[in-house]
Amino acid sequence: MDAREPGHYIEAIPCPVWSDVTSPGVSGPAWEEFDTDCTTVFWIAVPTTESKRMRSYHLAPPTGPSETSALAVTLDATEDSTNGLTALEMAAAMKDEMAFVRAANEIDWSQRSAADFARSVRLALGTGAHELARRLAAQGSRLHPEHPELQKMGRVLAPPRVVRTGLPPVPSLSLNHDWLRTHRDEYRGQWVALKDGILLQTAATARQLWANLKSTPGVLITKVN
Amino acid sequence: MLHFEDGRPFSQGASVFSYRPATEQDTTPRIIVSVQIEDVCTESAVDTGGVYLVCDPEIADLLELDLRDGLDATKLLIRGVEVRGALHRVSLTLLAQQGQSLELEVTAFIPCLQSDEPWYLPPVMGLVGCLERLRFAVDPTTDMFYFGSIGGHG
Repeated sequence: MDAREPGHYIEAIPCPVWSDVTSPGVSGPAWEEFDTDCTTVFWIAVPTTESKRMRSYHLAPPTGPSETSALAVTLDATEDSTNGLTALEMAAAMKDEMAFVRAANEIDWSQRSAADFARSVRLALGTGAHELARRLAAQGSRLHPEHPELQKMGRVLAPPRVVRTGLPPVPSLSLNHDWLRTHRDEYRGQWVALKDGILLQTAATARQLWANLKSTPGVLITKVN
Repeated sequence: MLHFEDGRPFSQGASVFSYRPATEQDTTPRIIVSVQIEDVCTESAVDTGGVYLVCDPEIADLLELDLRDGLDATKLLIRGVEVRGALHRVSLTLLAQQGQSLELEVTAFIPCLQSDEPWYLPPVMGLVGCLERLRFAVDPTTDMFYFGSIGGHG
């Protein structure tokens, strides 16, 4: 397909208003198979690229039978009184991770308040944009070192890091694995405590098991599944 | 241990893994290794398609995490179900049977369940926020899980 063909950019966006409406007989946005009994409407949205500051969705009329006429929804970062945060909120409400990331990339974060960063990190986490949440938390905590929540976000979402290397091995690990393989059926559903391949305790909950152990270092506790 | 062609180590530690379903409801086997979360030695499944260290709430209960240190009211999609919980920074040690064990600081998701809500999964190590800064490899012929630091701390 030619990369400039309109179809290349077309994406089907379920209308959020009716997102809970079921569509019997329709498994996807294949209009030639559109069932006349169906009540779900798919909008064909063609993102334009005239302006990097403007996110505009021209909604083409659906090619299947529908009572919905073509509507135009424009998300304009320059006219948005919240300077783009509304677009983030909308994308988050639709659980649209891609739209969320696109909207976030159009915001000039260098001038944003600590509250905006904190709100956006939470929205990103709720949308599943975990890498973006980390990036915003890092930038926000750098720009607003006085803001406790952003500092916490920056710390919790930071990339994992190696704290210590060269720790001694535990040669008896395989003994615990052997015990679990051998006794799995007998103890299924129970919490067990093992050390060097020897069963120390069993209990219905991890808390009970932990409380019954005389010593915990080096003891493997796990639920037998 | 595994090495690059020039002799540099690829991994510093290796441990035997179990290859079995992670829950009674599953039939697909997972790679399950021994780890230590804070002071608690337990087992954890490896899920490179997942995020964070998703902690079994019963294990999390033993960690005595300070609730004030976590990001609460976070939601994570786990197996198609939206689970409410909190994100914390925790210590995770990959326990080596051979070579060296390795301690990491990772992001953990601690599910917050209703009193009657069941939980079936063991701790699960995802990629983002947990394993992403490690080298790791699996030898299915010996059931060995190799892991190593990518160099330098932090």
